[in-house]
Amino acid sequence: MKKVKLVLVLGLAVVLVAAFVLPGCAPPKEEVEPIKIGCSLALTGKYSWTGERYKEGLLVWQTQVNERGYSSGLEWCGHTEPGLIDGRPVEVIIYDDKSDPATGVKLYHKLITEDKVDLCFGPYSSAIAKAISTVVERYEMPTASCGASDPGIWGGNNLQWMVQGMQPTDEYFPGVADIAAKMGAKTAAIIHEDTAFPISLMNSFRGQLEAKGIEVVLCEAYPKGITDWTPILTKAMAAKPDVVGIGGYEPDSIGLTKAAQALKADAGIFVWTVGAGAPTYVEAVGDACYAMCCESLWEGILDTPGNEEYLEATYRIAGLPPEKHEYHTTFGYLAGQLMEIAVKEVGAIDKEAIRDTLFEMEVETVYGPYKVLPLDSPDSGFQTASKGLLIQWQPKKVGVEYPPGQVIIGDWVKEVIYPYELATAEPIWPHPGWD
Amino acid sequence: MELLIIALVEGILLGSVYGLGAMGLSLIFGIMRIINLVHGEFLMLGAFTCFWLWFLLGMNPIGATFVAMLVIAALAAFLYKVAIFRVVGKFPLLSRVLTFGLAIFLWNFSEFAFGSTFRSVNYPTGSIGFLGSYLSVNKIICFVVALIIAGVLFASLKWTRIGKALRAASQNPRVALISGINIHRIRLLSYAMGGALAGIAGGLIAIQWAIYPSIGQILILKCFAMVALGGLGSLPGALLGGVFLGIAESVGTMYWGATIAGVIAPLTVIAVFIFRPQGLWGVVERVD
Amino acid sequence: MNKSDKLRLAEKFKTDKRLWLYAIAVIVVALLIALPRIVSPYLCSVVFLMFIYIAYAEAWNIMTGFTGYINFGFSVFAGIGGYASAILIIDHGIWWPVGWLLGGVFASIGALILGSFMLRLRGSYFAIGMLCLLLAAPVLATTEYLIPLTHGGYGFQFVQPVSDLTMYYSAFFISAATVFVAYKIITSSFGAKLLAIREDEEGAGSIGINTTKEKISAFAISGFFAGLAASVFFAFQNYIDPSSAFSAWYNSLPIIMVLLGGIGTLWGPVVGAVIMTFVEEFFWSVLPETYFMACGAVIVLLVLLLPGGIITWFKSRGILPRTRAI
Repeated sequence: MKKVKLVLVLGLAVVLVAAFVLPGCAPPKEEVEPIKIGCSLALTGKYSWTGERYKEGLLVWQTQVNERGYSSGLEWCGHTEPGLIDGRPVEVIIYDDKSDPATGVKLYHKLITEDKVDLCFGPYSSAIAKAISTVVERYEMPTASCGASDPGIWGGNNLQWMVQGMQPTDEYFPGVADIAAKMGAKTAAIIHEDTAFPISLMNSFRGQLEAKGIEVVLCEAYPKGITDWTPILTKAMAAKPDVVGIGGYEPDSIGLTKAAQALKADAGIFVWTVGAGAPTYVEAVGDACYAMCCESLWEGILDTPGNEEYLEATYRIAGLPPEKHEYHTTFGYLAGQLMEIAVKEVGAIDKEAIRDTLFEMEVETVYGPYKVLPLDSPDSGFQTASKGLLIQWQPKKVGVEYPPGQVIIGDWVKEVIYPYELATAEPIWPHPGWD
Repeated sequence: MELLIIALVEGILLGSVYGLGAMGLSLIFGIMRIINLVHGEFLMLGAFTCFWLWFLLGMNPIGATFVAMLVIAALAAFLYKVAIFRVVGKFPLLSRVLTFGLAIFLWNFSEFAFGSTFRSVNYPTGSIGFLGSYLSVNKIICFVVALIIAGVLFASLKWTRIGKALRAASQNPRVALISGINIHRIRLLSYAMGGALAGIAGGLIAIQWAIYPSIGQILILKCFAMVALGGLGSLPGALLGGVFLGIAESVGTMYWGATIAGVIAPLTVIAVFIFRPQGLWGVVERVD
Repeated sequence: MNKSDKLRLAEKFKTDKRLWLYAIAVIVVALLIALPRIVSPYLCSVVFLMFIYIAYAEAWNIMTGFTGYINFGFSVFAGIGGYASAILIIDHGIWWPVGWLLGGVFASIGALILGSFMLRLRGSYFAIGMLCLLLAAPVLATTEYLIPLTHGGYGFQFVQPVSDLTMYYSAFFISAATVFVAYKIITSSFGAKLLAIREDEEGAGSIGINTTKEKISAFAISGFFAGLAASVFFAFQNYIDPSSAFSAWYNSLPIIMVLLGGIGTLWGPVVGAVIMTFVEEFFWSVLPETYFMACGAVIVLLVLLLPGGIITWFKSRGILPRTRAI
C-alpha cells in the first residue's frame, strides 16, 4: 500500500517535472541572442490610454536601436552598428497589467524569472510602481521607471535598483505660484481626485502657493468615479479664488472644463494636471480650452539633443504626427534612452555596473537633463535634474510661423509659459471669460 | 440659502439623467427579477453611439440620442434572444454571472474598437444666469428630454394595452400568463425597452460628461443604488431614486464635501432596506 | 510485499474507488509542496494566486452556497482584512502571522456587525444591499475620519517581513484550511441547518433552528477566511489602496469560480478556481488586448451550457457520488 503510493507519487512527479523542465532545454539558437528588457504596462483598464502612449515610445526606441544602433541624440554613446551593444538587438517585452497592482507584481515575477529579461522598465502609474518596486529590489534588477512621479516611492526607502527618469510631483505646476504672485493673486482653490498621484501633486502645489503668500482657501478631494463635477466646482468658485488648481486624470479634465464653462467660472488662472495638455482634450472641449493651463513634462519645441529627429522618427515609426505629440509617449522613449546610455557606458550586460551607472550618470536625453540621488542617500534613485513646464492653450495667431514641434489643434496652439527662459508666449491673465 | 437652491437645482438636473438610466434597470428587474449587470455597458454604448453619430456624421446630438436609443434597444433584444432569456426565472446568480460576462465582453470590445481615449460631445455650450450662478444649457436640454421620455413611458404604461400587460407581468407573472399575456414577448419587450432607456441616458451622458469605455462599470453600481432607493422594480421610484442621488451628491458636496457625498446614497439604501423595504417613497408594495 | 499482497491491493484499488482518490490527493499535495523547488517563481506566483482564489471562492461558498444568501459584497470583507493586517503589521509592528490572523478576525467582526442587520434582508434585497456596501466601502475608507488609519486614497505601500516562499506555503495552508472548514461545516449538523435555511427559511425556523444565529455564524466564518486570504494577498501586492482593496473585479471572481465549479458543493469552488486561474492565464498569454472579451465569452458559454457547474454535472451523471462531502 505504502509502496504503491510512493511509486504513484514519484511517477507523477517525474512526468510533471519533465513537462516543466524540458521546454526550457530547447537547443540554443544560432543567431545572436537579443537583449531582453521587460516591462508591464496598463494596456487595458483605468490607465490604458497612457499605457498605450508609453508603449509607443518604447517601440519607437526599440526600432531605432535595432535599425541603426542608437536613438535620437545619442550618437555620442558610440556603438553605431545596428543593435544595442555587440550587435545584439533589443527586444522589449511588454505585458498588460490591467491597471491592477497585484497583476503588476505577478508580471514582474514572470519577466524576471521566466522570460529571464536582462533589464526592466518601470510600469505606468504610481500605484503599480509602488507595488512592483519591492519585486525588482528583491531580484536585484536595474529598472528605469519613467511612469511614476510620486516621490513617496523613493522617499526614505533607499531603493537600490530603481531610478526615476521623469520629474517627481514636486516639479509639476512649476511657476504657477510665481506667475500668480506676479499678477497679484491672493487666494487659491484646489480640488483633486482622492488617489495617490493627485494627492501627492496637490500637497506640493499647496506648499508652493503658500510659500508665495497665496492663501489656499479651499482644498478638497473628490472620490474616484465621480461623474458630475458641477457641485464641487460651484463650491470651489464660491470661495472666489484667483487660482484654481485641479488634479485628476483625463476624464476629469474634460468633465471639469465643461463644468467650468457651464458655470462661467471666473478666476485668474485655471491649472490642470495630466489631461488638459493632451490633444484629445482640445478635441473634446473645443473652444473652452481657451487660456487653460496645464503642467507639461516635455514639449516637442524644447531644444534638447535629438528632439527634432525624435519627432520625425515617431511619425515614421508610430504614425504619430508632431503636432499631436504628447509627452506620455516620450516617457517610454526616455526609459529606453536611459537604459541605452547605461548599457553602452558599461559595454556589457553587467547588472551591478549598469545599476551603478544609472545612479551616477548625469546626462541629457531627448526628454531633458537626468540625474538621480546617489545610492547612499536615503531617497536614492529620486530624480533631481528634470524640471517641469507650464503650458497654456492660446489662440493661433495669423501670419506667425510656428516651429515644427509645436502642438496645434485647429485654432489652438499649445504655448509654453514657464519657465520664462523657455517660454514661447506671455501668459494670458486673468481668464478671458467663456464667450 | 442661494447656494442651497443652486445645489438643489443642479442635483435635480443631474438626477434626471441618472434616473433615466436607472429606470431601464428597474424595468428589467421588475419584470424578470434578474440582476442586469450589462446595463452599465448599455449606457456606455449609448454614449458612444451618440458620440460617433455626432463626430462622424455631424448629426445633432439630441437626434443622435434617439438613434442611440434604437441601436441599444436592438442590441438588448439581440442579447435577450441569444442568451438572457435562458436565465430568466432561474437561480438569480446565473443572471448575475451571465450579464457580468456580457459586460466585460462589451467593455473590452469597446476599448479595443474605440480605443481608451476620452471623448465628449461638444454641444450647446452656453449657459443661462440663475441666482447669481449659471446653469448649463445642455443640462437643461437633457433634463427636458429625460422628462419627456419619462412622461411618455409612464403614460404608455398607464394607458396602453402593452403597458398594462407589462405592469401585470411585473406584479404577478403567473396570473399574467393565465390571463393570456404572452409573457415571453413581454419579457423581450421589457428588456429592449430597458436597453432603449439606457441608450437615451447614455446619449445624454455623452453630451454632459467625458465618456470612455470603462464608464459603464462606474455607472452600474450607482444605478443599482438608485433602483434600490426607489423600491426594487418601481419605475417612478427609480426616477426619484436618481433625483435623490443627484441631490445627495450635489448638496452633500456643497455642505460636507465630495467624499461624504459619495457615501450618502449607498448608506441610505441600506437604511431604507432595513427600515422601509418598500422604498423611500413607498410607491410599490414589496414583491418578493 | 509478496505476490498475493500485491494482487489484493490491486483488487482493492479496483473495488474501492476512494483509494484512487486518496492516492491522487497525496500526489497533488506533495507536488504543490514541492512546486517552488521545481518551477519558476512566476509559476509559483500564479499558483499562489490560485490558492488565494480557492480560499476566496470557498469562503464565498460557505456563505452563499450553503445558506442561499447571495453575497455581492465579498470584497468588503477582503478589503477589511487586507487593511487590518497591513495596518497592524506595518504601523503597529505586530508579528506577521498574528497580523494576518487578526486581519481575518477583523473581517470576521466586520461580518458579524454587518450581518446582524444586513441578514434581516432577503433575496434581492440582501444582494443589492451588499452591492451598495461595496459602492460605499472605498469611499468610506477615504473619508477624513478613516484617513489616519487607512492612509486614504494616497494608498499604503509596505514591505512585510515575509519571503515569497513563506507566502506561498501560507496561502497553501489557508486554502487547505478553508476547504477543510467548509468540509467540517457541510458534514456537520451546523451545515445541515444552513442547507435547511437555503431550502426553506420559514420551515427551518419552525422546526426550532435559530436561523439568525446560524446565518450570522456562516457569514462570520466566511468573512474570517476572506480576510485571512486577503491579508496574504495584499502582502504579496505590497500595496493597498481603497480601489484595490474593495475591487469590483476581485469581488466578481469568486462568484464566477463558484458558479463554474458548482455552487453549494464542497469541491466546486476549488475546481472553479483552478480552472479559472489557468483559463485566464492562457487567454492572457495568447490574446494580449482582447482577453477580457475571451473571458467574457467563456463565462457566457459556461452559464448557458453548464448552469449548475462542473461538480453538479458530474454528480447528476453519476460520475461522482451524490454526497454532501463532495
